[in-house]
Amino acid sequence: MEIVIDIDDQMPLFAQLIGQIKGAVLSGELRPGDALPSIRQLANDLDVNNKTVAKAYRLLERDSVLQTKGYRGTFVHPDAKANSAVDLKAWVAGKLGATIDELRESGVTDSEIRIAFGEVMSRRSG
Amino acid sequence: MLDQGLFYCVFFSQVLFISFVLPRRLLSRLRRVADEHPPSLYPRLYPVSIERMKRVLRIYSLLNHLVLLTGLGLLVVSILPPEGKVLGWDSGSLLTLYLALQFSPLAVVWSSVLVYSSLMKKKAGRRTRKAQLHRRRFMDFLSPPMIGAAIFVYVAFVILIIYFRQFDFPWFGGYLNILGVTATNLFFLGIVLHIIYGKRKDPYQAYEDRLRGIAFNVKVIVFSSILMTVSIAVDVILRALELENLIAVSTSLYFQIVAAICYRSFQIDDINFEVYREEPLIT
Repeated sequence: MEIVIDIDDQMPLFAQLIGQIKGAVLSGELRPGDALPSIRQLANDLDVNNKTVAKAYRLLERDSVLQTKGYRGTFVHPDAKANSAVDLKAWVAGKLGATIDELRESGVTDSEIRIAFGEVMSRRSG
Repeated sequence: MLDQGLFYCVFFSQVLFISFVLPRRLLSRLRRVADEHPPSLYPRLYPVSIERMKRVLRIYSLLNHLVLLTGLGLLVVSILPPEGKVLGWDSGSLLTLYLALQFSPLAVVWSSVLVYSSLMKKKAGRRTRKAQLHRRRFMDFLSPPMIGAAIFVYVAFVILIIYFRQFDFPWFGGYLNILGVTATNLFFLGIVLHIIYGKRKDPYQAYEDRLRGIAFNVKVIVFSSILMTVSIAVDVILRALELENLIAVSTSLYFQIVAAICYRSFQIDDINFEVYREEPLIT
């Protein structure tokens, strides 16, 4: 299975990697238990920074599409196909949308929502 | 006298083999590549003009001829004096010095290859980059018997050194031999890991060609490591048996085998040259 990334694309490189790996899982090109290249190997082959591939792998691991088995390496998760179908972006948009609708109904203005959202986010990440 | 005669024979074969036979083979292969894959049809193969590449090959050929003549001259001069020494140099030192000279033309070509690879990458300047989602493992490129042989030779070497420590040879380095061989093997391991996981030099190379190249280079390095350990073990044994005159012979044979293996790595018949053709224009 071949990974192709476009360095001029507006989509970040790690997101391109995530999209293609999920696509390969959904199309059956990658099956549960299949071994993936090491971060260093894939980064060197694509001529990108190790951190880019590490970030993609970390997020795919969070989504239970990949799993790391210590020194043995990274493998496709047994439930990868079901987990790849989950559109996290749509789920987040739905949740936020519902909350925003509720706040608006309570009379909160959009600018107040933005300021509060920014504050909550910075408090949590700080 | 017999030892000296044997050394001359091996040295003569070294001079001819490394500075004449192998370079001729390499040059004929490179010329074949240029003839069968001209810049007009395979422009990606030529990051610089073909004339510039041919100039490097001419320098390589000239240097090899000079080294060849130097070797033959040394042989004549060393046979004539009765003590078998050239300008006060013993066989071993002469051999080491001459070996460095013999490999220098190859270093010239190698440095040019590195420059060409870097230019090729720059010229390619690809916006899209491709990689196979296939994990390369150490064991994909080496057979278990080969790894077993490398481990066996290393363990046998350690046992040999421990055994020789009981004798009080004034020349014997003891555990330093193990340290040296271990450090060199670790260095070889580093090269192997770099070959398997490192950045590719040629941006156009087909993945199958790359895997074939990795497999061959890894085998060459493991084989060199085994030979190096055997060669040092043979040196120690020859010294212990007071056959020092044969050490130069064994060293020369070691380098001739390594040179033969290194030159073999350049095989052109299986390479997919289609990747070096100009990309078709999208209409």
